[in-house]
Amino acid sequence: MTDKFDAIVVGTGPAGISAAYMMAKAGVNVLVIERGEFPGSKNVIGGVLYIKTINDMLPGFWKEAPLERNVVQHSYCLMGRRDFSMISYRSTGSKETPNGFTVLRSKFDRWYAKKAEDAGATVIMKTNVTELLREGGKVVGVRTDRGDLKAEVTVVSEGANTMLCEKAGLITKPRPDQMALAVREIISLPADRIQERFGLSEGEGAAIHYIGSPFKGLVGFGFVYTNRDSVSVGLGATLSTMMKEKVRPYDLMESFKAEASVAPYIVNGLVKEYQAHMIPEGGYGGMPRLAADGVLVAGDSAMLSNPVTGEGADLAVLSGRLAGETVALAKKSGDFSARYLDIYRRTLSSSFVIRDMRKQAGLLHYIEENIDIIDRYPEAVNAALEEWFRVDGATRGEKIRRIEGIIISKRRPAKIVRDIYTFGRKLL
Amino acid sequence: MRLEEKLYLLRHVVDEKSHISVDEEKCARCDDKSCLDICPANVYSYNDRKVFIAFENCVECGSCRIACPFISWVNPLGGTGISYRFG
Repeated sequence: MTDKFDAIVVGTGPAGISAAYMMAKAGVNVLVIERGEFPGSKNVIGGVLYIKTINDMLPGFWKEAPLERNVVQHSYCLMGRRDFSMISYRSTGSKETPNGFTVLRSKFDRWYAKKAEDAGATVIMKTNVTELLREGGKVVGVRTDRGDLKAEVTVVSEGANTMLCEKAGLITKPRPDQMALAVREIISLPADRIQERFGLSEGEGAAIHYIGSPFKGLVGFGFVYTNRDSVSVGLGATLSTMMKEKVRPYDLMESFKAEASVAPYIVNGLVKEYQAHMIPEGGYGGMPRLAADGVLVAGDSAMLSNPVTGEGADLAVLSGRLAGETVALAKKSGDFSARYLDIYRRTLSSSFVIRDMRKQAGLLHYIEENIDIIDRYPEAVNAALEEWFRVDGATRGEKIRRIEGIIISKRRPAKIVRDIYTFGRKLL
Repeated sequence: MRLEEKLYLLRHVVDEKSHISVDEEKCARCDDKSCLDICPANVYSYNDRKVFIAFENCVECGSCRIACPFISWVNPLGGTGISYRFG
């Protein structure tokens, strides 16, 4: 190992490895530093890796990567207090290119890190980066618990815990409303049992997102994803609302698992692992400075996540790729200044990642300010459907009028109009 | 399933030194004690006006660091801490 590298990447998550891969391909001498025992050992994903951004880098990677199931079914479950309703989309034809796969990061990240190594990157484990080294304002390398390492440029992709960025003044410490805590369990079940329960064929997977009653008072949601021979069950909520409601995440997990819309999928399954991780939910306003002298920030560290779709890992891949490409250009021109590295910020800003984040800015804040909508709307839908399907001697016209009454009893019409307007503006 | 049973499933490489510390004076005067609720691994407990930190159970999510200004939390030494098998 040489003492001086062109570039250092902190972390072997999808952002760091994508950056390292692009750099190594372009002949940049890059070192990747991971604090865990192996790539992925500290990482947790909700479930689905949308493949577009990584497939653009490594076409056809999904044929050889250790992926769990090809997600062909996406559902939303609206949970009431004593009922639930579901809306599902299912793809039945075979698609040339799949959309997303469930993954387990302890397998996937190892595979992906090997790709960067094969391309020429050096990857070291069990080394914790404690701070960025600076000379005259410029980042010139990293301090680790095994010594200092110098480089022209450092890519910080340390995950949602942005301690390096905070120390370097690239971001102020996120507030509790800018971070969500997610907990998850891996519940093992035989593959054919999973296929029967979810109505899937071999290799096919399902993703269910849950909203409603169990998350009353919380900017929160739940999920169920199918892996090859396990099911991932979990939930997440912003820390600020969890603190306000004094909710203990593991208690909420147990009550979520007992819900009638969740329990049948996991009954008789064996819990193999319990996990917790933060999800950056600071949105556009919570992002750090993406490029400064000698340093770039990518992935969760850059607060890239989409609360609407649940994307995170694929955004990390794109940001890592763009950071890697920028470093390759910087090396060619011999310029690692903030001004030059700003290419990264500009290309990322014109991508769908930042365009969505800019559009959605303030969405979660609006939900927290109008926290009733978390349980009231799902309850309204369930009550309306219950009314519609119940045969009780009322005419259909009377049913419609009753349903109008139900909806209005859950939320005032003026507020409904404002909700629709706000959500429309933030999403369209 | 109880939390203790879930934590028992996890693989940790334990360092002797804690990577978490608290400002005990501030803790004694803290009304919220969010750490007791928010921590998914129940690392924090409060007894006899003193906070106990079971740092070896920490899963390194960092939530306590965001939730509380009196907790000082750093990554554990490289190669130690939580090691997920199905992350």
